[in-house]
Amino acid sequence: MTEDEFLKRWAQERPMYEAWGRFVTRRIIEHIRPTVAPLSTDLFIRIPIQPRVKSDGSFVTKAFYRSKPYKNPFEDITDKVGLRVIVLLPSDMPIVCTAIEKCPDWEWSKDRDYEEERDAQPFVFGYQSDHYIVRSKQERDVDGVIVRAGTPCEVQVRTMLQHAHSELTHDTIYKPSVTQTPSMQRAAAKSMALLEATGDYFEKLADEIKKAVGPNKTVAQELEELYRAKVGSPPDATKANGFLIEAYAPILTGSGISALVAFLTEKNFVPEKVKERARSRILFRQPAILLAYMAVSKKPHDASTKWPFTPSEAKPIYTDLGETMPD
Amino acid sequence: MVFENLTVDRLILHEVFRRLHNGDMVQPTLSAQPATLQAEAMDAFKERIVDAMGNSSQSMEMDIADATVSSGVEIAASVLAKTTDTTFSSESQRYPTKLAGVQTAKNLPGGVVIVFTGTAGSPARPFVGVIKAETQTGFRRQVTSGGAIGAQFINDLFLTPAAKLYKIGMFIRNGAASVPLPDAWRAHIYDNQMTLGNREGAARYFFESFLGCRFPVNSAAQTKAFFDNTRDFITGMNVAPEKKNDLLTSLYTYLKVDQAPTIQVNTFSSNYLPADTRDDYRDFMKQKKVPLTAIQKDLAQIGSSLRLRKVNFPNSIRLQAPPEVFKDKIKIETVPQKNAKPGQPGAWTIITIKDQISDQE
Repeated sequence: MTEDEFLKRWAQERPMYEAWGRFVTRRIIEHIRPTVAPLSTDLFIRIPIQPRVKSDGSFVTKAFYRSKPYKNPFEDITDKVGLRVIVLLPSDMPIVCTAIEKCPDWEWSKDRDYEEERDAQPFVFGYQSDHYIVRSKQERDVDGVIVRAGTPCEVQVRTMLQHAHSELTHDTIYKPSVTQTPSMQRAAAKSMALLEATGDYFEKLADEIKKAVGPNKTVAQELEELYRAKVGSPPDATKANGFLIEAYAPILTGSGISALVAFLTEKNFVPEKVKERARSRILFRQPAILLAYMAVSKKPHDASTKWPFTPSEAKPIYTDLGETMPD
Repeated sequence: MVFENLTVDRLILHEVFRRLHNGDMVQPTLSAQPATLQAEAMDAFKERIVDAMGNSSQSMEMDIADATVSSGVEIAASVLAKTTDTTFSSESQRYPTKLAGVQTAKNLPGGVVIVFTGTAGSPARPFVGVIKAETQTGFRRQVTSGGAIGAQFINDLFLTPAAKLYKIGMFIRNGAASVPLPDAWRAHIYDNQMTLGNREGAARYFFESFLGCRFPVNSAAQTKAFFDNTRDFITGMNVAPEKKNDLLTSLYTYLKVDQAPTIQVNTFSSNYLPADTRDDYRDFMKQKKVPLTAIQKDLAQIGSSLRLRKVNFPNSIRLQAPPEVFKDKIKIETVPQKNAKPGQPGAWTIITIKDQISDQE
């Protein structure tokens, strides 16, 4: 095949690869979603996934001008379309890997497994990333484009730190077309070693944060369910919810969420008031606003000193409960 | 919790005026149509009501003294019975008409008279409310066409958060409409002047002549309950004896020395109790069925306990003095005794009397 023929075929097939890339992206996100819920996948995947097809130039260069011996370059080059899934922590990576490996729509193979590489060469600090090739099991229609069975897509899974490192070094160090000087390699290995250590520290920090916010997180989930069930309109938890939980969760100490359920049964008009106010005020779309009502009713003084926003914003709660707000 | 879950379904504004120099009445201006408030304005209106009437407010539940034709409660019952905007409006006019008639003193100001109906409480109970709101002056920010900020003078503001400029009476029906008046009805009155020193004075026309209410007959019992339970709460507090002594002295001062004609749980706690005990005190008083709203101070049943404050020690040792003297002349300190043997007191008390002995037996 001449370069011309090669490019002609590529121009013809590119839309198919683009479609396959989009399909793989959507599927990965769908498979991650239940595992990371209630966190949204947008937050879990730190950089939006953008499937990219090879540009003509780099495809041709890779096929004809590098010293890799391809028998059938068009078929053998598997990263004609590729995408990256970038997460925060090393411990987040298995969630993505499992999603890729469990997906029934494709066959997968792992090109690079950074854990294996690390175990094989424990003294080397090099490029770290999991690379998969996923190939469609059957022909399928994606957005009106027919994708043939066996169409490959490369999926790279990395942490943000690994990503930063590879952005800096990938093209220069790992491609044979660029000279590798010992000092360059040394600098790269050094920074990778540092990044790996940093990754460990991140994990430790994330672990401590998790432990610290754990109880509030549980309360937040319970409140969200309760809000849906009682108020009946969708909650819209923002940072304000966290402030409210921090201020008023202590009122549940000892009895847990059931005390709030009992309160809402006793003051059965509260959910209706919340629903009414939620239409125009985001504060009343915070699930923890229910907790604030309980605090105001049980401990009006304490509740007003602990109110985390401007006092006038607490006024409607006092009014609904027939309580005069302390000065 | 009388005023929780407050809703307002109808509201109408009338206006009454100050009497002429010769004492003649000026006819009130009467509206024939209810007013409509936007959601935000309605919220503010409800906030004003709850500020004045809610739990821990300075309002007072009063006895209904007059339930004859044209009394406050009779008008309330007939306003509530009207179901259309037109009949509600014309019936509501009886309030400003009556107010203009009973407001005989020439120094009494005019004001906007708001009559409103709705429900309060859970389960919701119907009510009729009347507000007399004096107008105020103020400024309004105004951006001129050149972008500069100017001020527009306004002289007919009413129902601002300055609560001393309005009075509210609310009649709540807790029972069937057919029950003879006033049995199913409760009256709650808010009048800032009621809590000032002039309860025999200017404000009486509002709750008495206008709305037909009087101070509850059990005021003396309520005052005693306030005193007894507050004393019990303070003695039960987990604080140093000196602090307890201070707090008890405050209670005596509040009841005996303070000139306000009403007492109220929240006023006492925010003036004297440590912030972190205020909710507990409120809960305690609520449990003991002491009203959280204002109580008319009537010392008839506790006069003698207020004359002398006593501090008792074992072995018949007793210190007693009038409460006002306690405050200024006596200092009590507790000194822990670390080396006290079993059976000996763990602390001693130093009493300082800022005076000489005048006499002893």
